Amino acid sequence: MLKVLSILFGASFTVTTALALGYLLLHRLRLTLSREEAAPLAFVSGSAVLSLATFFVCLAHQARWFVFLSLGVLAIVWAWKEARSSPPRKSLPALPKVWNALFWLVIGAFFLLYFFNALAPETSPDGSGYHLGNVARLWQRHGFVWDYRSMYSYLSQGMEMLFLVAFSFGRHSAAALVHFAFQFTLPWLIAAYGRRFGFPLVGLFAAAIVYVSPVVGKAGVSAYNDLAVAAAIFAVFYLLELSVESRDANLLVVIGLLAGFAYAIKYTAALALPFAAVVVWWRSGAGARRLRSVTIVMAAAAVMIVPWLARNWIWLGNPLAPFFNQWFPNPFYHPGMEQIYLNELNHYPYISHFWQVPWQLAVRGVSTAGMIGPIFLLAPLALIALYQPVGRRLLLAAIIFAVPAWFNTGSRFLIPVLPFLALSLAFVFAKVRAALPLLLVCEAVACWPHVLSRYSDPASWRLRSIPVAAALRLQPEPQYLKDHLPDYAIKPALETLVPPGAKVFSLNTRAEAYLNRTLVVAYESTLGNLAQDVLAAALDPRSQARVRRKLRFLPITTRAVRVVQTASAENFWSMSEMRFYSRGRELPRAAPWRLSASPNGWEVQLAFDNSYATRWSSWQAMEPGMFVAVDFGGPQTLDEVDLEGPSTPESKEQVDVLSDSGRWVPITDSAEYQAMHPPPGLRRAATHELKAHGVGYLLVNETDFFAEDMRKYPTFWSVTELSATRGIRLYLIQ
Amino acid sequence: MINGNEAGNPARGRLSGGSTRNLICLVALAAASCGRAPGRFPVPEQRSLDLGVDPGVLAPFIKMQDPAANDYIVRDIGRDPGIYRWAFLHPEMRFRIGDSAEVHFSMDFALPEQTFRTTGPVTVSYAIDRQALGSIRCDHAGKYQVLKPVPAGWLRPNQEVRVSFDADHRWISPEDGAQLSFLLFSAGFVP
Repeated sequence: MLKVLSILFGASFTVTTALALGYLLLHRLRLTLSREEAAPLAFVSGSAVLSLATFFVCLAHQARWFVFLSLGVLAIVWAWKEARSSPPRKSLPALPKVWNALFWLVIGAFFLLYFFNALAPETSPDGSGYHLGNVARLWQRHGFVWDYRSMYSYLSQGMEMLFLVAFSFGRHSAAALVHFAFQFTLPWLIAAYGRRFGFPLVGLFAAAIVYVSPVVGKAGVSAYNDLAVAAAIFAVFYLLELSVESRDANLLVVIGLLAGFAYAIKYTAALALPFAAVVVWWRSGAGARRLRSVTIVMAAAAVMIVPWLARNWIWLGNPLAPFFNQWFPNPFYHPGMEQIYLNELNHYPYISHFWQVPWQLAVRGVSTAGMIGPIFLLAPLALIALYQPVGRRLLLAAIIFAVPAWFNTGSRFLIPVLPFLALSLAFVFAKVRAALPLLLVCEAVACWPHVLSRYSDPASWRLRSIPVAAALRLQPEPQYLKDHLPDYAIKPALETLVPPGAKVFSLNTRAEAYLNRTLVVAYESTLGNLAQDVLAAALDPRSQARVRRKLRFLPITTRAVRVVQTASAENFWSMSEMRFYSRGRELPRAAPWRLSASPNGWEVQLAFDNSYATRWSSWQAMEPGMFVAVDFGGPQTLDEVDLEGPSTPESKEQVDVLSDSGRWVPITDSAEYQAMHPPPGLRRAATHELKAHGVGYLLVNETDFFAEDMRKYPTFWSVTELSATRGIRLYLIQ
Repeated sequence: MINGNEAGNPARGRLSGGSTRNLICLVALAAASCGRAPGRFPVPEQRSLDLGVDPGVLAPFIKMQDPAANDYIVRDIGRDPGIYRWAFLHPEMRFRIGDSAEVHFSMDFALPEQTFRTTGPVTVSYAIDRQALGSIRCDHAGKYQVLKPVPAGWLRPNQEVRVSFDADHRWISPEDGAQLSFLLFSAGFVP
């Protein structure tokens, strides 16, 4: 029970601190808000302030529970004192009693469902993976961990900053409960919006159908950030609507702050800022006032955005990491890997026709990783709302915030759209007598987990039960985690047999929030890419040096040679080894040699290490102008350049030599192709390379491409199996 | 090109002309200077290409605990994994050596107490491609090691070579008649 209390304290303390900071902000800005709308807006804007404050705490490496406690108590006491000396806020017009009762009945039932799921041990894929994995690392190191390289740690972590405060008191479930608070705040804001602008029933209906949406339920009880994004975006929209009534410039400060907070939570929510800026520009009339208004919004947003941009720029050389790596080349994430990752997200599995997408999104939920609820099959009817101005504004917002869903097919990415779509639909149904309550009841029943299981796909991502025993820790947490997270079974072996600081390679992402060791995941970093590549080179002929391209020319004496790519293709350009010859004898590689390449110059040494387990790769699509160059440090006579690597028929190379005048002169572009066999012992070479790059252990699933071979031939791989449980093996590299 | 100044709005002109250009230049400069330059690197440490053999390729020597040990067994040696295997009636193994100069035949085996009590002293002889190389008399239970030079010309480089063993006394199972010679730990050729 102590565990439950610590979880509840961690979450409620974080939420209360955010509320306090939000009330202080709204009070200082003297914004006139009613009681019902002030609370959710205070929570969202206060969360922005708390998130920013936590960022600086992490920067100062002071992320400790007593620091958060001191700052939080200070904010709460300060806000309480200000509240006592302030006049009470006005209330919005009362709601019809029957509607109020129906609304609270639906919201109350789902609130309990969500509460117990959020309180239960956190087992969601991304929550137990990188969201809380990042938080656990921040917590252990009391701040940002600069020597840990994973694309997920490069993302903006506005929500993780809030999780960290809760985590410091109540660990994983406390963080999930903070997201649960945003899940509740979203319908609250929608309902308040309806009441504020004179369509309370529309607001209540929309709030309820958003709240009962299965994907809102599942994402909201997990340590994710989608509901926080949706709440921040809707709050921006809400305040923009308020700004029509009130010309208060301070309102623009909060709009900017929240638009910036949306970016800080999730990159895809960056759209909130141009959206807000354009709306403010549009509505601010002409001249200097327009410029001033937009500047206020941008400046306030910058307060939330710049810290994350600056962190990444200084840390990684890429302010937008882990994306746009081709614009901002860096040694920490390959542009090609970024493209592969994005292509993977932009793909619907099990879908043969595009028209299947709405059905999957609303009802089945397997291709779209969850569903938004059957009522949204009626979404086309929302277009009828175009007849009124508010409907047009809502639908415009829906279209704009649906853009990220084009790039990521997960239904979660439509959550920010749901409030706008639900309100638009509500406007349409409100014209039909009794349609709203009827539809609301039907949707609520249809979205209850036990009913949902009758028509949704069994594999869909959704809530399935109310885990009261697990939530109250009547069922021991480790047992629950073992039952729901296969990775948890390896935890004892991993933390006993692998020393702290040692690197463990895994082809797959892991529940790193629970595994207290440094994991190097294949697709998450350049080191992960390299590790996967060398393991593939041991077994996969497509990754092995099977072709020798011999570029011969008349003997020439030069100081430097470069091999330039002259072809374009989608494949990467790669080479296991580049060798130089004179009269049939290889030039021994010497200390004065200096190697360079473009792109991916950081890994050029892989083409000169005499290892057929490694290879240099452009890690982006082949294009003319790419090169690998060697400066010999003095004149060298040579007549042949050999490129040994996998078969890439698209590749066409040209040899250039550096003339005395300092110009590159092309010598030849005709290559003779020769089949070659890589030397034996590549398995051992692969693990030696991993070890040389600091990876001492392997965590292998039985479905991994090298799992069966490694299990069969550990001595050939030079590994020792340390543990095997639930299809996961832990190996030590000898 | 018509800018704000020409349109008669100085304030707007300053913004859309000079300031905007300056801003664009600044952003372009910042963008051009961002990212990291990889620079030039020295030649790295050269890796050895002598990393042993691949599975399915016979080596000159094998320990019975090796997962590939079964590949070396021709007949009458147990195939269950473990640090040792039982040698039965006519045990035979196969190997491949690269360089045949100054090679020794090596073998680690043991006679367990239980079988020795029945068989008494045992002489284990060994042969290469049916040519007797030597023998060892085991007059007590326990571990034994053989290290015997192989005469020049007996082995051909990169060719498969067969090694057979023979124990003059074997333990015979009263239940199924199985004949157990000795426990083999490792065998093969070493420099």
